[in-house]
Amino acid sequence: MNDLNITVEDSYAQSATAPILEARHLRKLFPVHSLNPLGQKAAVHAVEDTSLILRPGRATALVGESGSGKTTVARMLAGLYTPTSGTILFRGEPARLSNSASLRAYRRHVQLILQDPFSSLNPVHDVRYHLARPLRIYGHAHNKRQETEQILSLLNRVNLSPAEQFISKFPHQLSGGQRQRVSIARALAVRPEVLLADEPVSMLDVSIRLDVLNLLLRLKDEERLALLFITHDIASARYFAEDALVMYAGQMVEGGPSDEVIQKPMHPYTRLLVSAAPDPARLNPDDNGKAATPPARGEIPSLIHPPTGCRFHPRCPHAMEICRQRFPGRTELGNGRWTNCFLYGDNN
Amino acid sequence: MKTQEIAGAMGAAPVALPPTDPLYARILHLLRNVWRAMTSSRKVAVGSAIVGIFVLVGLFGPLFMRYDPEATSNLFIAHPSAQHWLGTTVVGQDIFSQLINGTRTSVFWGIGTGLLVTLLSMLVGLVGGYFGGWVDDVLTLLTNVSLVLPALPLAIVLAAYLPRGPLTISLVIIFTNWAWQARVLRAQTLSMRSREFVTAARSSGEHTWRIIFFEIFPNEIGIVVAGFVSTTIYVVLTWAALEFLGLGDGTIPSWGSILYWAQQDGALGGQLWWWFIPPGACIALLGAGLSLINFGIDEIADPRLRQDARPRPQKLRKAAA
Amino acid sequence: MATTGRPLLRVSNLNVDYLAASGTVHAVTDVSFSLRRGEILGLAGESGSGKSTLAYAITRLLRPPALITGGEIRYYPGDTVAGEDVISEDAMGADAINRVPTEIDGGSIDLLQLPGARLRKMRWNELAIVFQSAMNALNPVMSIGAQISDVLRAHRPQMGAEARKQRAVELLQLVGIAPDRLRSYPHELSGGMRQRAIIAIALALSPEILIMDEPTTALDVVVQREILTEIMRLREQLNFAVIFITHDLSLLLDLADNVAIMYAGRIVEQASTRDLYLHPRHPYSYGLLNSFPALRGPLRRMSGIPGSPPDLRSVPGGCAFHPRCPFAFSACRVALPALQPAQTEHAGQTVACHLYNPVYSAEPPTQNDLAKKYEMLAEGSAIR
Repeated sequence: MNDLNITVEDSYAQSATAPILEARHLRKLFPVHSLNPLGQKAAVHAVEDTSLILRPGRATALVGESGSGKTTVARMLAGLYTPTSGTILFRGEPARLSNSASLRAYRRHVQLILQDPFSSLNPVHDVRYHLARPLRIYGHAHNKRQETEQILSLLNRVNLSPAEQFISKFPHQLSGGQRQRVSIARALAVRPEVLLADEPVSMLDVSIRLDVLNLLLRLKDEERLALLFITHDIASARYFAEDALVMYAGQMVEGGPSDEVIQKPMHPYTRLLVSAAPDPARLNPDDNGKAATPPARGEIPSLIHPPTGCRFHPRCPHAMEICRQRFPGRTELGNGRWTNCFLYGDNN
Repeated sequence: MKTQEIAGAMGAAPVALPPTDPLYARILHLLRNVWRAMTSSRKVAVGSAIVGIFVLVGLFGPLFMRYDPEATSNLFIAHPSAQHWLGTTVVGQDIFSQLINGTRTSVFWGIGTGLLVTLLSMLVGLVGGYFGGWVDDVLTLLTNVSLVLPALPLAIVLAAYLPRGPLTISLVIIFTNWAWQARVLRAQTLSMRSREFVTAARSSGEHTWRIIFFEIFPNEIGIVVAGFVSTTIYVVLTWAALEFLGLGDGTIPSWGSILYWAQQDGALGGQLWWWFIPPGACIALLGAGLSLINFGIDEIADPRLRQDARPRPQKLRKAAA
Repeated sequence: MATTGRPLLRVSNLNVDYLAASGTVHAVTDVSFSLRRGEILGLAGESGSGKSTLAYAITRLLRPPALITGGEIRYYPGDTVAGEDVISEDAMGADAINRVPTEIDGGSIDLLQLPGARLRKMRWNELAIVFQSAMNALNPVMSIGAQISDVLRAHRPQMGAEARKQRAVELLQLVGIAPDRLRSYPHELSGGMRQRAIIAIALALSPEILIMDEPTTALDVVVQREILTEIMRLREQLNFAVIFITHDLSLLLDLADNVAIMYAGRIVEQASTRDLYLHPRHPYSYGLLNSFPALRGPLRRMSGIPGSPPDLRSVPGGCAFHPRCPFAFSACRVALPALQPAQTEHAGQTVACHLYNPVYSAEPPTQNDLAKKYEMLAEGSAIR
């Protein structure tokens, strides 16, 4: 069968590889402009103390709903936002993202793939232009011939065949799946070591999502890329990534091998997420099993005035007094799993 | 189907590349697109035809003038006749010749000034819209101040004080008219800036100036061209107005100067319609032609609309909605 | 389960075309299905399947260049307001005179032929629609209470202001919004609450049919689950029928009683949810079900369906799915399969596929055959 037999030992062995991209205690605040210049400065507390590690040849999923801060994390890692505090390390060295030259040097190694295939390509330029620009900017091609050669090779790598036909097409002549492949090809043209994929398949038709995900997996294996897969769909997180990190309202709440996190969620929010996900397997032939009511209600909180302490506490069925006072430290649960929850300990 | 070979170690092995069209073929293709776009909409076709006629007259008209427009004659204030198609002025000059002579000035200075206004507003709008921050604040301040100043009265005042001539009028018009388009473009650029393909370009490492001029600007060509056409209409009208008021150089022919002399020499009071109606009609016609073009500009610039023509509405066979 | 035997809506051979200069696009072709009282029918399909067009066609909200070119939609109103309602006495009495009269055409009405005034009466009284994006469907400058009131005023002119307010409060409580939000504006509500508000407005006149076009697509997973639970609860309470349109088949498996799968404007399979889950017959249905990574169970390499949904301007001949179908054979390219029961003993599950037509194919494929073929595809994509 086609089981992806990743044992725990493999998992450890691979995690011995040196991290290629690391984020430590990233924080991001977006100032909110108020009309009153003398009043208190409000801010959107988008990301609060997030850390993660990406290793070559491994995919990590960042799971969360809207407002969880996952897209903000990706954009900070891509250099599009400057973190309010915290550090980003590339190959152990702090990444310098201050001026445009150093930023370009950083982007040579870290590329971002965006969510919306319908607006991430410029409608006035054809596929050739989109792929030629990164090749020229980073000096992978110096003349027209090299450019065309490499573009055709890239198109073939992302399964847009026959490549000669696609090279002169405009975005509006391509389907969503094809556009997303062009975006992937554009990111690959730079020859990065890290690929940040921000919900790469959420806006694609269901039947072609797996194709694109499988493509990314193949590229990961062939090129030993480090992948960050941002998604709100935990089932695809499990399928795609070896590791999963769960975020809620800007805070990281749980992490570990994706299969375990999803089969045995520890944090109450992760439990909520898993129970709310559509699961056809729940449809038991015996009962007319319709969805069970999730264990907590409520909505994602406002990030301008977020709840104090653990931001999940207003919705949490197990909330305690301490949950409101401060955010719990990380508790290691063994096997590479960890969670930030007072139910399991408090390592501050 | 051609296959591709990877360059060998010993220099580049011949690679069979898909044939790229030679330059002339691509230009021809572009022209064909423009032609198709121009003729697809009747308004655009008619408008282009009108403007085209004026441009041709401006270019080649003076070759066909029968009389020297400056030459006086004994036939004063003659009605239109076989000899003088539009009659003569109070000093016997042939009005038709003057009209043709003036067309060149009015059309080309008008279009030229329109171009310059568009360029200036483009620069201000794009740069302010993309960079934001203090750059945008300063440019917006300048734009707003310029918008508040009344254009025509200011133009009159400036033209009155500066040395006479078409260059002055051109500069004056540019100075008083760049702000509107700048504001429109800034708004458009602001919205473009947050589009995902701009983010993707930044993330690809694209240089800032290239993002502004090669990623954002091509998406705004429709607005810029439409703005250019509107501006040119206004320029032509303003030019005529300034000339009519005597603020131009009366010796340099243009439609406005014909009107100036017509008014000076009592054509309006004396009901010498053949003197002042033709130049007025020309101004109005050129304005109308440009306006008609304005209506169909978007389709030419947007590649999404290039192949699919607009569907023709058909009679509904069965009431549905 | 409140599905009674009487049909409520019967769509027969519906055709909807879009007229374009480059040719006519057949958005919906020959679609037939029936909806019973209190049934939740799921319409699943990807882009270009025609599902949204179908919804708009039923409610006659299509605008040119879209055109209904054939078929009929029969509505069987019945003579009582079925089920237990929570509407107040005044509204109940008022309802009776506002129901579409039943003595037309022997008990059924062809929706496509209804003249303007009667159509207007029909809309929202009998048939309500919940659009994809609540943010766009709600008027940003009116409070939600005012919007509910608006609907009531339009259709129940005899209701007084006090009665309307009362009904609005009832409706908000029905969908789980606190009554003090009556005067909130849409932008003050969260995404989930806006969607609930839209549902409240849709239920204002106790319609018999609720058409929901991707109502939860823009919402988070948790909120989505809540809304779906809400819909099911309301259905139990008020016994309306639902046509639920979505691209996410996994939602329908939790929610719907019956599912119709659409591809390139046609229905390719129709079955009860259980039948579809246990034994999908059409290769497309199988592939679609197989496109959702499992939450539990062994991890295995999956593939979606190769290729992409067709552009409706150039639909492949014969069976539209054949270029992507791992089972395609010669007949599929030329002959259009008809929607027939997959197994003669079990008429409930119909499929439009030559594999089940004894004329073309001796043995219909088993679930194992389908599974094996798709596994091979997955293996292929792993190696490539």
